[in-house]
Amino acid sequence: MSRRSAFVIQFSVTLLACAFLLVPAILSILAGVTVNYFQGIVASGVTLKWVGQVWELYSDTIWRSMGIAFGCLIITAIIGIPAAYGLNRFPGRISRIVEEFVSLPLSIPGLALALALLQLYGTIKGFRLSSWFILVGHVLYTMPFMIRSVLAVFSTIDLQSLEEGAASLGASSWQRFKDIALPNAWPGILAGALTVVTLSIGEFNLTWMLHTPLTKTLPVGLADSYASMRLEIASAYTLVFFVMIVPLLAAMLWASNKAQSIGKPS
Amino acid sequence: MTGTELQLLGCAKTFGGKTKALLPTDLVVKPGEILGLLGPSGCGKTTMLRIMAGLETPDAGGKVLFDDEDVTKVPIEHRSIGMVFQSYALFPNMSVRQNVGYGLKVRGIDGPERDGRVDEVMAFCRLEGLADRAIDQLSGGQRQRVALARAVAPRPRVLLLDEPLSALDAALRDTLRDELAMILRGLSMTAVFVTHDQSEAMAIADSIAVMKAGRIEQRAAPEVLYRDPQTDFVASFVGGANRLAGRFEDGELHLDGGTLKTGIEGNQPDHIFIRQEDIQISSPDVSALRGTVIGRVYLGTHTKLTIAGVSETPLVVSLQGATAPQIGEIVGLDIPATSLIHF
Repeated sequence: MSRRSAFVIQFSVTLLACAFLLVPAILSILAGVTVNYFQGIVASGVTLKWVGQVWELYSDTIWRSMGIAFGCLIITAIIGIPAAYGLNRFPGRISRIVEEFVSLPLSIPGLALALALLQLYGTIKGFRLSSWFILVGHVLYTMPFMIRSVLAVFSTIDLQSLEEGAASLGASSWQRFKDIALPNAWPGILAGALTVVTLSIGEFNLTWMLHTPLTKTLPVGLADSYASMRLEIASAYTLVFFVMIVPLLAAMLWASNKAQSIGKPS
Repeated sequence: MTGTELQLLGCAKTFGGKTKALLPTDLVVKPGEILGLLGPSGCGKTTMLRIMAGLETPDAGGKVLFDDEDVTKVPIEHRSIGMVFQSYALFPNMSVRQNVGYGLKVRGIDGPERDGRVDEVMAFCRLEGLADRAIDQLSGGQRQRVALARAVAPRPRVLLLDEPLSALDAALRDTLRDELAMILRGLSMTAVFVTHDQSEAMAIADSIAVMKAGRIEQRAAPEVLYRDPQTDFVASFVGGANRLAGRFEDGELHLDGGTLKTGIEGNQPDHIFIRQEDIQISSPDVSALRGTVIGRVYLGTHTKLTIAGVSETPLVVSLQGATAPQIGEIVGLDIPATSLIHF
């Protein structure tokens, strides 16, 4: 086989793989801006009407999802970073058990977790009917990702020696946490934050069980629009989802790459 | 001399209720003195250093004094010590200047005063021009000097160094050892450093405490330790003296390779020590002690010979001069009675 034909075959396979991934997404996005999908985009023309309708019908789900993701990030950071710090600082059997226990929600299906939450807190009406209820579910589900990614960084930098070094220079335990542990854990914190936000925005299983008609999140709204709206609206919804999440992912990826280059262990 | 007097009184350390890392020990380090803690791994030297630092607390009854102040219960951050760690423990998120200035920063010293003191210490430790480097852009020797500069910048009462040279390449170690010795002398600060390398201890310390199995075997100036060791362990660990074991009779030691006139009267030991450089090679016909050369390493300034058949274990002889015997040759050994070490 000549080099040229090898190149042609490789190129075709790559192209096919790309097409397999991209064509459905492109079609779906195009459907969202087509006047009438069954007549086709050429015959019926292009419109932003459907996007407008999505905004009218579902903008609350978008804001709610962003709010829950942000809240989830704050809570997992406030609890998860000190927790990872503590687990690293006091290694031993109990720490290992705690670590495994925190990771338990990963191995339990979202539906089961939701059911447990409903059984336990379902009767507290004000809580059950608010977005806080969904937030609690998301925090449970995403916490292990924050803890584990921060813990992973702590274990690569020999934090104990660094902290002893800082202590020998007169730093209090708060100063050691703030000046040494936190800045050196930055790559892990960012990677964890990226995972937490993405998982929270896209979470469906758990949220579907926990939501009420007044506390729909973006993916629940998306499922709702697929089931009950015309195809163009559901597609326009997908488009909105896409436009929201892609820049967010890109920004956080950029930030975590940047942090990794400053936080390298010596 | 300026500086703080450091004292340990009855300090012991037991880990996990049974592992005795350090037996009850008394130790005084005079103001401005540089003390080396020398011993093989697991002898308790690092534990002792960590007790001085406040990273470990001694078992009940032990006391650590800085001058006359009891600091046993004072945590490390309030003890005002400077410490150089084996791994250096430099902060990777900070530049060289920030590392060196950190101890001043946490004490609330800011602005021109901090900059001035950091510049002064960096110049002293020969770190000019490296202030804005990141830690991962430094060589091993530079890192070591940054760690030292960082430790001394807040002007600690006592400077503690845990194996400060062991992270370096062997080729660099000799040069940096002499440099470290010079910097430490220039600081005239009470300092204690831990090492397993006797030449390092000799080069840097005013006084050396040789440790074994959790206790100090002997504490003396380097020359005294070398010339007049007080225990078997010190004799063999410091300078690698040869152990000659045999049967004593009328001041003569009978060995596998012949007899040795020792001039020892009265209480006669069953073994003695002799330093490598105190043995002379002579003709086997005239000497009362003979052996066979089984190893020969030429080292420029001297040749190291390994000679079997003299005592239970082969003898090591350090021979000056150009003509050393070859492997397989039978040689005579002259050992002057005045050079023998016995207890």
